[in-house]
Amino acid sequence: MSSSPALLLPRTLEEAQAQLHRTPEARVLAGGQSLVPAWRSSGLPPAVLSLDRIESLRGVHMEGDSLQLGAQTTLHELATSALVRRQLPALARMAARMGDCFMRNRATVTGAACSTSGAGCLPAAMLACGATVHTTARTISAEQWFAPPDPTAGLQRGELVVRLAFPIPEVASHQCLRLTPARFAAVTVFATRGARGFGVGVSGLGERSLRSLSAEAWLAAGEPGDERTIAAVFDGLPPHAGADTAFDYRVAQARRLLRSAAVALARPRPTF
Amino acid sequence: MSAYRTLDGGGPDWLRRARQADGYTEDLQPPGALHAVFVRSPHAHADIASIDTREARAMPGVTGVWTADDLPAGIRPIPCIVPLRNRDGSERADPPRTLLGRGKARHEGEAVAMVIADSLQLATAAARQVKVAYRVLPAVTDPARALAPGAPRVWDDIPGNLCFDWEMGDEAGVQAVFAAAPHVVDLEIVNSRVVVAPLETRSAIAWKDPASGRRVLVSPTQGVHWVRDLIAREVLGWEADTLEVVTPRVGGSFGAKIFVYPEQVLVLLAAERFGAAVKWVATRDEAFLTDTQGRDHRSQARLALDADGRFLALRVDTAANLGAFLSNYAPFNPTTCGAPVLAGAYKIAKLYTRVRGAFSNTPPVDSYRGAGRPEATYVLERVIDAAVLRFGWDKVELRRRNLARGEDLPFTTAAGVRLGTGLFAENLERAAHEVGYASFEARRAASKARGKLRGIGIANYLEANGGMALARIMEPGGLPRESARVAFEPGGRVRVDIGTQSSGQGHRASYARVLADQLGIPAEAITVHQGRTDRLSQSTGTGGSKSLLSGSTALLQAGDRAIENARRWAAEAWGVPLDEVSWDGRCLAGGPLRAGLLELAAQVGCTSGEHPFSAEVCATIEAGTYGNGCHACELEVDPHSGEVELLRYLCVNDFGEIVSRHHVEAQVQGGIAQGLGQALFEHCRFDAVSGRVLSNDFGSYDLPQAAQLPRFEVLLNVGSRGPNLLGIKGCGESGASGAPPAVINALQDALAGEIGARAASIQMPATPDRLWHLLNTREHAA
Amino acid sequence: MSKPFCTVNGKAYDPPANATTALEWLRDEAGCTDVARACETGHCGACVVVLDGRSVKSCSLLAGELEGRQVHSLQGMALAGRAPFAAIERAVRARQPFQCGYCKPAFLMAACDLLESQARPTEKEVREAFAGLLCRCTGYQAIVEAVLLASAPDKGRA
Repeated sequence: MSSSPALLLPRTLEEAQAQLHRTPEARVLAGGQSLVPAWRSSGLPPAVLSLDRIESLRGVHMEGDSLQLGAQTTLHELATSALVRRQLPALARMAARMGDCFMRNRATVTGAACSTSGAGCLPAAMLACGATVHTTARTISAEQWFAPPDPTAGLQRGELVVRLAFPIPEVASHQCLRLTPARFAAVTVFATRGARGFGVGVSGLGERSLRSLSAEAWLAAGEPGDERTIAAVFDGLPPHAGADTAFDYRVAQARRLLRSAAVALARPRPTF
Repeated sequence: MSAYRTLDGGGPDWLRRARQADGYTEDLQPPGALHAVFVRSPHAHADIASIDTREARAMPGVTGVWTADDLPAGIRPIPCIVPLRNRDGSERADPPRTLLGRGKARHEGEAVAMVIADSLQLATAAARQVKVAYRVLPAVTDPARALAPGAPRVWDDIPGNLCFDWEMGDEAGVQAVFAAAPHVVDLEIVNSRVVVAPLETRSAIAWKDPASGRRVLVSPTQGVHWVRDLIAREVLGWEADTLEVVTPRVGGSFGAKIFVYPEQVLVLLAAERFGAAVKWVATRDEAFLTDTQGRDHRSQARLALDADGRFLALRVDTAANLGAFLSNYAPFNPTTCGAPVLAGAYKIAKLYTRVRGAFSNTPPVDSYRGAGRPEATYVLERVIDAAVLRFGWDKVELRRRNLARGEDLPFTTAAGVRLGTGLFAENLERAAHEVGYASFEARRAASKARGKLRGIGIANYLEANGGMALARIMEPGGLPRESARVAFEPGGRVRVDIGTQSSGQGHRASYARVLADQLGIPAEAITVHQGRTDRLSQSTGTGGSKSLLSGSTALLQAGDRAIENARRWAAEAWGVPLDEVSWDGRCLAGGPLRAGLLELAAQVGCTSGEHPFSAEVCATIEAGTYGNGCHACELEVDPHSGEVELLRYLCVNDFGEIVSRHHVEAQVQGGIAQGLGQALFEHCRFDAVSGRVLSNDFGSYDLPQAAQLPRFEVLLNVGSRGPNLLGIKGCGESGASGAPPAVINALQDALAGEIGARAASIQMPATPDRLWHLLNTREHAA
Repeated sequence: MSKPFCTVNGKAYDPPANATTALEWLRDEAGCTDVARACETGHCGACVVVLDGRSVKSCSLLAGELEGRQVHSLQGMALAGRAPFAAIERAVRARQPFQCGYCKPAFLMAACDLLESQARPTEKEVREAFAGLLCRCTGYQAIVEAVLLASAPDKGRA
């Protein structure tokens, strides 16, 4: 007997979809940085389809006012891309702090967008920017995408993420409390100001990352120094006991990070 | 000497590699080896109703599946070697450390069955098919709760989970001092539980040579002879010389690999039974669940001071977690190993301590870098700072006033330690000077202006090294011993075999330098070997920062004997009367003739046996050493996030004479990092209800990282010699002793301006959320 | 002659027999014991190898994903064509920063990545580049000093 799963290494999206129809039990692997180590304890799937060899899923480019990240863009590429650093510098800086240097060489934006931990910086950025997830079948808004605890749960058989699209805000700020270097941040606040107003995405306050309308309203009210009004932001979230640090601490930290983001958004646009 | 013929030429390749320390144990792949995998309890506490191994046994490639019932008869439990007498004169409890759980599992990860198969994959698959029916029982993991009435009982026949109730000192005398003292301060102290976490996990390869019948165990240890003797004589009832233990390269140990574990014994039994090499390598999960863990004390400390701040009396009551089973040294750490430094180098008039050892549904607890001494140092230096906070004394002045000074030496502390030398006051003064203690308040104000809380912490430490306490407890008046062998080999080389065992400390370079100086030969001509029971008849091994002390004592005596052997040979060869052949430190000279040892050694005709200059010595270590020093830490707390930034970290140390500054600094730096890890990051947590281990990988148990640590300034005060030929004092564990109190004292100092007396309640690990809660919880004690 | 499954340090290998992860295959089937197995969960970096020029953790890679790839372990770094490696090796020989040695691949490869992107990093940048990499022995200081020495050998001990 062999304990290894059958491994599929398609070269094109079409080939991948055909293989997934033939082998529906195959688990799709983006960068594998979470899944492969997790399989040690959870047990291996019967088959794995790795997207690693599909060249068309790589690359970063602009389409109109929107930054397009190929599904297999690595965090290293996101952190070092001249285009990303110019268009959405907060996103590049954020990526440079995600995971360790070896992980960033392999971890992909899709993998980061599929996190089921409720933590993670990229989901907060997607929610704040109003990013969209483009699959082989449709376009899904970040809010829809992160509605279920497992974002991939809604994907149909053979449906694959092709790219993530980030409308470019006028200015963006990534703030996080990372208690241990290279691990998930305990709390992330990503805030943007753009043509459609403010956007705020938060991770670490619940089972999933969320867009915070109360934080957006607080930013729009333009009172970043006001201690009374910020107390209402992030209020009413159900206490989430899943993380190591206490919920009241994390809520207080989210408010602190939001204040920092407000200050950053008010400054001239940072550049690299 | 002929009894210890080298086996370098014998045995299979993988074994030769092991003997040459070419690689770690896990790297060795004996051809045709069987692989062992263990079935472990997923519950912290459960009755084992049944174990069904039939399906697993029937799987292809499976050689055997053993439960406790399948073990050969006549095997004894792995002993705890440390006797301890209770306050009432009775002996401590001694529950059996069985090889495989029978009837009951007492901690998550306890092995209940062993699967042996042709490959690791097959063994792992078969282990999943072993069906164990458990009946889950209530669990207890905290030592104070384990001792409280009504706690779940880990051992049915041990009431109150109490292993021992030990005391030292004059309780009534101390109580009388407290009753009359002008100042008394109390402090509750948690010394948090720590996962030792060497990066190389434990492993073992067992083999029986079909030709000679000799058994071999290759495994990472801190001393092969001790492991050999314990397994062979105490557990298996074998003659010690029928078992060879080899320790190749070791990937870190910090105490955890000193001890004999069930897996080492079980693979030996499997190799004996199945006639093949049997290999086991712990997964990281197994390491978190089954390696001995460290610390885990709950203490109540009380310090009495006179009107001038002189320490009058110290009382410490401690509940020490021992885990579910007694590891080999377990009762030693919180008692006779740690208690001697409980008074530090301070002139405390009276001391009393009572320690209760508690069984709990957790992995066994045993020596971790410092083995009770860091725990004692932490209590002492924390309760001193509690007095600083309570009564407003200056933290440096209070320590200065109470430390033994040069003119006080020799001085016997209230804990019974006789200090002959030591630069206690000098270390404190230099640390305070170097850290800029006098100008600290200006820096605090500058931080305050930036919204940060700045604090400074000072902690003295006293080490007690040499293995003296353990030797005394093993036999009245006993002294530690260590062995070395100096052998002259072809090609102008000298081979040293030594009984101590490096797990990364770099002992070999220091030994080579010491022997090179003694024999007047280049250090490059010397190779140092360790981890071989076939090369030395006995040895003690490494533990308690004593390797260079005990190893060099043995090595220098062996060197002396080699010089004497050479002198006798030269006298005969040169035809000069023995008393006219002299040694000047570099050469032997007699009449007109003069030669260095290597030159002379080459003149000896080739013989099949041992070179006539070669010598083996088992030396007695007559005196231990008391390394000492002062750590100083300056840090900032962000009151809004509770995050801590370490701004400055330095220590001033008296390690006597220094053989290799590089290796001393490396040891101190590593020890400080482990101490800082415990103080700020490492949090070994158990589920309050199930007792299961929550911090079970490096994603949930945070070792300190490079970006979290500052540059450590390691300063050495010289001029005080240790009582041995080299004048050295032990250093390897000092960092782990000094760092935790220095950091927590600095945090107390940083927070005191905001929360007053409550700042004394900071416990390890002082994680950001804990500090934030302290700062943001309004509690006004009466 | 058929195409090899992959190459490791320039040597051709057959496909995995039993191994699941690249780490298992490299250690147990390809005999690369210089790829260290320490945490097994992607949290320490000791199992790092260079895969087609990029350093990646072999514990977080399936063995089958190595198909058609060039792999280099620490001992093959001279072959991997990584410019800073020689200077790093010299600094390591001079400074002797490791103790037990288990973490060595993680820190040498990370140092190589760092010096490729930044020839003269500050101490803080070196420490931050090591985010997520674990050593239990050294407290990192000597390793950081060795990297600084490699980046500026003329400055001696940094």
